[in-house]
Amino acid sequence: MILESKRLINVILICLFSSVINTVMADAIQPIALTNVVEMEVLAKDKNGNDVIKRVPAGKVVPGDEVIYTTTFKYSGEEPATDIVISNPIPQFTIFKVGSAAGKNTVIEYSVDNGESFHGTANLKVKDDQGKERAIEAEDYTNIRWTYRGQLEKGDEGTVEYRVVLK
Amino acid sequence: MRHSIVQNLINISLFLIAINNAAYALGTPAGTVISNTVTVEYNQNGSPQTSTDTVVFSVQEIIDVNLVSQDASNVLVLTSSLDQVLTFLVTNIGNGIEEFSFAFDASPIGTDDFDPTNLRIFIDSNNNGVFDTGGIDVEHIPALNDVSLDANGVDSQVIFIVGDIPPALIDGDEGLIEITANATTAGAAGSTPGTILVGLGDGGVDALVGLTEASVDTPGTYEVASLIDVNITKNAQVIDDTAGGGSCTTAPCSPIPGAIIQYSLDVVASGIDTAANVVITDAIPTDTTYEPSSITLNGIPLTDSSVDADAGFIAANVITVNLGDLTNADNHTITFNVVIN
Repeated sequence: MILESKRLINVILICLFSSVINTVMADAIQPIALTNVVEMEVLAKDKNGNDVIKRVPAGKVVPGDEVIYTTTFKYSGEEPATDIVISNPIPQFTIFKVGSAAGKNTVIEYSVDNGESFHGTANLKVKDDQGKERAIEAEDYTNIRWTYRGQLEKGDEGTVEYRVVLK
Repeated sequence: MRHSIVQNLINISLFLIAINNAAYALGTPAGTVISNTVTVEYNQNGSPQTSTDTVVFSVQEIIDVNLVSQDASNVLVLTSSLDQVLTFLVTNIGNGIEEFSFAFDASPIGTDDFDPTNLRIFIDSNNNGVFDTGGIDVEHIPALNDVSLDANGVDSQVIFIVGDIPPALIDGDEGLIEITANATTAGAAGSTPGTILVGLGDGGVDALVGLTEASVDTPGTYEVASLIDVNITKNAQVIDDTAGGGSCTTAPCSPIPGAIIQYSLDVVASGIDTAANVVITDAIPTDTTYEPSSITLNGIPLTDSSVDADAGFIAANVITVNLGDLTNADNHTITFNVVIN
C-alpha cells in the first residue's frame, strides 16, 4: 500500500515536471509574447492631493463595474513577423463598452456572431426575433479583432485594449 | 477532426451561457470566475504562429437589501385592539445568497399620535401573504431564525409586524412604526457603501457593502378608525324644463311642472370590517312621477325590472339598488330621474 502511494506520487511528480517543461518550451518558441491584464479604474489622490484616476488590478469587481482588458505584445523573433491579428472574445457575463476598443497602428473590427465574421462598426448587422434587421446594441458584440498595420521587428511592442461592464 | 472538437466546445459553452443568463438576469452571481483569453496569430518565415494568454478574475459579492410595505395605505385599527398586522416584503437584491434579520422601532422619528404596544415580528412561514396565528407563522428571533434569500431579487419573504393598539384613541389617530432589515454578514449592515468585507462573500470571495448599506428602514402606520360606516349624500337638480314649456336643457333649470329632476345618491363606506349586503332604497317623492329606465349605478344604466341580474329596480314607487358588501373607501353613485307633476 505504501509502495503504491509512493509510485502514485512519483507519477504525479513526473506529470507536473513534464507539464512545466511543456510550458517553458511553448514559451520559448513563441516570438510574440502576449500579456493579458484586467484592471479597473479607481479614484486616488496624487502627491499634490488632487483627484486622479488610477488603474488597479481587477480584484473587487461587482455587477455594474467596468473593467479594462489590456493586451501587451512584444516581438523577439529574428525575422519580421507579418499578418499579425490579435483577437479577443468578450468574456461571458460582460457587455462590451462600445467605442472603448483601442490599439495604435491597428484596424479594429468586431463580430456579433461569435467570431465567424468581423466588420467595422458601421457594417455590423443583427436581426430581431422576426428576422428583421434592428439597431445594434452593446450586448450584441461578441468578439474584437485588431489587425496590425505592417510588420513587427525584433523588440517591437505595443498594446491593445477595450472595456466591458460586468452584468 | 480537430475542427469538430473545437466546434463542440463552442456549442457547449454557448449552451452554458444561455442557461446562466436565464437564471441570473439581474447580476452575475458572486464567485463567478470571469475568464478571458487573447490570441495573436501571425506569420514568421512564412509559417503561421499562434500565441495566447488568459486572465481571470472572480466576481465579488455585493450585499444589498430591499424592504417595502405591502399595505396600500395606513392600516385601519380599532382602539384597544390586539394583534394588528402590518405587512412588508424583504428582497435580496445583492448577487449572493444572504441572510437577513429584522428589528422594529415602535417610536421612530416622525409625527404621530400613539405608540403601538407589544410589537413583534413574524415570518410568513407558509408564504400565503396573510398573518396566521396559532404558531403557523413563526415569530422572528434575530440570529435564531434569520431569513436566507437567494440572490438577484429572485427570492423574497413576507414579514409581519404585529402589535396591540392602546385604549382611548380617537378616529384618525396614527401610530408610526419602523421595521429594519439587516444583512447578517458580519460588519455589513449600516456600513458605508463600498466597505470591503474580506472573504465574507459567497464561496469565500470578498463582499462589498452596496448602496443600501446592507440595511433598510421602512415605515408603517396604524390608523385608528371606527367600525364600518356607510354615508349617503343626496342631491337634486332640475336638468330639463322643456316639457313644462321652458327652454333649459342643462342644470340648473326651473322647477316647473313637467321639468325633470335628477336625484343623485353618493354612497361612501369608511372604517373597519365589512358592511355586508348593503341595499339602498329611496321613495319617489310625492307630486312627481318616476321617469322610466332612468336608474344608473356609477354611470351605467340599470333596468327597472326586479327579475333581471342587474343591481337595481323600481317597485311600488321605491327605487332599490343592491350594492353588496362594502369595505373602507368603497364608493358608489346612484342616480334616477323624476318628472314634476
